[in-house]
Amino acid sequence: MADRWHKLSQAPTTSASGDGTAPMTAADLFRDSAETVVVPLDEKLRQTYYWIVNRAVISPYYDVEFSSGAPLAFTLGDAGAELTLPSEASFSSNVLLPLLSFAVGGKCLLIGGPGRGKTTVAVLMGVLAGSTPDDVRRGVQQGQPQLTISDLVGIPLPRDLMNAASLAEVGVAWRDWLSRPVKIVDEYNRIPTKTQSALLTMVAEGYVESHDQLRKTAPASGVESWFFTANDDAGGGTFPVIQALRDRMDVTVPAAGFNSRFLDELITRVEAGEKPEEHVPAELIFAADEQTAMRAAIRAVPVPADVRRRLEFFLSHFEFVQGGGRRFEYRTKDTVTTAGGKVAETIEANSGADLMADLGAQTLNGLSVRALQTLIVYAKAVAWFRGRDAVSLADVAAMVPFVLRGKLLPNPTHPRFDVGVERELSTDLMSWLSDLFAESCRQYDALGRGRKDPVGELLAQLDAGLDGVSAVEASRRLTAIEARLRAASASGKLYGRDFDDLTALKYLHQRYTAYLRWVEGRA
Amino acid sequence: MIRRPGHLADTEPPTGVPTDVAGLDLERAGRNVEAAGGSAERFRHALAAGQAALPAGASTDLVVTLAGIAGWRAGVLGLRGDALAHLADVPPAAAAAALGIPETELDAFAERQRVDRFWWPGRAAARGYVCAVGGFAGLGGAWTAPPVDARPLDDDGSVAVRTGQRWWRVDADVWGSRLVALDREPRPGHGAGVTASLLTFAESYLAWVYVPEPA
Repeated sequence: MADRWHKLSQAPTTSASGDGTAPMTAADLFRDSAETVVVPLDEKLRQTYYWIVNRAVISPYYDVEFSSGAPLAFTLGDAGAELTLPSEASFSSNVLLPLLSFAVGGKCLLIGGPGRGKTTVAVLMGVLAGSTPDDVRRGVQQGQPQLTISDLVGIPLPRDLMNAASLAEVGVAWRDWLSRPVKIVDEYNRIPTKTQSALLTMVAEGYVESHDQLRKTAPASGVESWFFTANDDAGGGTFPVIQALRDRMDVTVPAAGFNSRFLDELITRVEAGEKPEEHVPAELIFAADEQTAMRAAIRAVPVPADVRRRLEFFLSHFEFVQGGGRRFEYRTKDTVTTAGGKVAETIEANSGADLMADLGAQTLNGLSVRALQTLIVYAKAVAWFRGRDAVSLADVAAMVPFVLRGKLLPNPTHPRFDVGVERELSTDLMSWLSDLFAESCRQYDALGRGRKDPVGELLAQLDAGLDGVSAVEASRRLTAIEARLRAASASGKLYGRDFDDLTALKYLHQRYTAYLRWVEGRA
Repeated sequence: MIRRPGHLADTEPPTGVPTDVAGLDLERAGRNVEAAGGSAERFRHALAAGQAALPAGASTDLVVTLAGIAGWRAGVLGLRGDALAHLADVPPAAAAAALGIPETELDAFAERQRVDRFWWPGRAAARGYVCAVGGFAGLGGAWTAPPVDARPLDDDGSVAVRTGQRWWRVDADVWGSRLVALDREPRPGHGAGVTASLLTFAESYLAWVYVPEPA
């Protein structure tokens, strides 16, 4: 029987020989290797993606969309449903995001009801990393209420427990899964809190500790990816997930439902008793050095200045809350939260700002540095996956909902969620996050932030160094900073998007006044 | 109907199961064909068809030569020169069977091929179209954007084309094609050999190799 699983791109791509047509002889066919074909890693990852969606996982969903210009859109039904046809290659998030997590060594949380292929996708990632399907399945940690730390990490050797004079002499029989390149924890919201804490150390610090013994969890390649599954990420499950562990999930991906039009394929598999992870083509397995090289290549993808600026602007919305404190720097959501206050109430008390224009009013928190780093890494990863030389705005926009879900929390009392036609956004967090980023970009354009960036120019001036800057020049710059602050003060309105600029201006003012003092003192 | 990459000359490929030959690892040969951009499956069929037409007790060297022809037929561009040079060393019936063309057309095919890598007896009937390359990656092809800006390069049978922001080198002949992703935009060449064009279409992810046929 023909191997129906083993079908890759019919037009293979390679950069091995430069022209791909190096002359051969018939005798070369019987030598050890007629030609060593090196498929570029990004091409290999794309082939892997298409193999998974075409052969392994029945997933005819294209929710990560890319288009040049506006996509063709159809309004369906009478409740505002819209189906769009993107003009560029688009992807299934429930395959793409796990694959990117595998590539960057990330932590991916797959959520969704039972039987939606979450564990299958995770197991496929383990096989792609070079483990056998049996080994991967054996290494899957099943979350359950009785799971102990010893179950998870291993046990001290009984012989050593009897004979050792100190803990240092106790050897630990570590579980084999700890050093696998792909680690899978099923139903992590059924794991007891204490065991979750041990898991957190592994996920966050990359090591595991038992009886004074340490073991690093990274494999030889240095690239380890984690896959967690849960039926929901809204607090359900046997045990609540500790916030620090939840926060370590780089991306959250909802699993897609089964499309009934693909029942034939399902029946074929049932009849053949086949599992996709047992049929991964050997060409798609990533060796340890390939995993290392892939992560390095992804990290090297540049983020152009215009994309960085829009990202800065997006991030600036969320930390500030007008009534959060008295001192300017303390007017943040974190001030309110750490004091046990309610951010939603503080936002609502601010009657001076337009809640619809203030994007920060839609969230209960700001963004952590970790979330920002993750967003940058995944934007680079998807750009690299798409064969782009640099990160584009579309790459960032595509990753925003998956990275920020569970990290940027919606303010349920905001008018957007509470009343009106957008109430569905209170449950469809992915669409809300996408829309938040799109709206931020619209504001960026409307305010002309891309054309003129006076605070950026002042920061760049300082970055150029103070060597040779005269006292007169420093004074001139101080005047410019104060003029900017005066202009902001005159507007009478204050939004989150201005908060970072204003604190940056204060920073610049401090640097220049200190410099001026030094120059004048020396004179 | 969804069109996929492929060669128009490949509509009726030879079929069969190759016979084992002592001292020759046909599995390895198949892997090497695959590694060189051809199809191991097509290679097996082409070799089997040729073997069936060989006289009993044919030497191992003869089977190796036949394998070179079968490898070319299976899409290995690098074997074209070797196969054409040794076509006459193989009994005509076996060579024709491996190539999947009538024995009566073998000489004409060899003669035309030496100057025109895209020729086969049915090209005129196909209005000069030789093969489609690329295709949408979502359907098993290679590209994630439609091809545009096709231009000839200096080598015979090679052209450059752009998909989105990426440039590709396309090499092709009558039986095979190969795509190579390029790091940067290539310098346009002048083409060599028979003038073939790479036709692209705004609504298609395929690019077609086309040779104008005289009326």
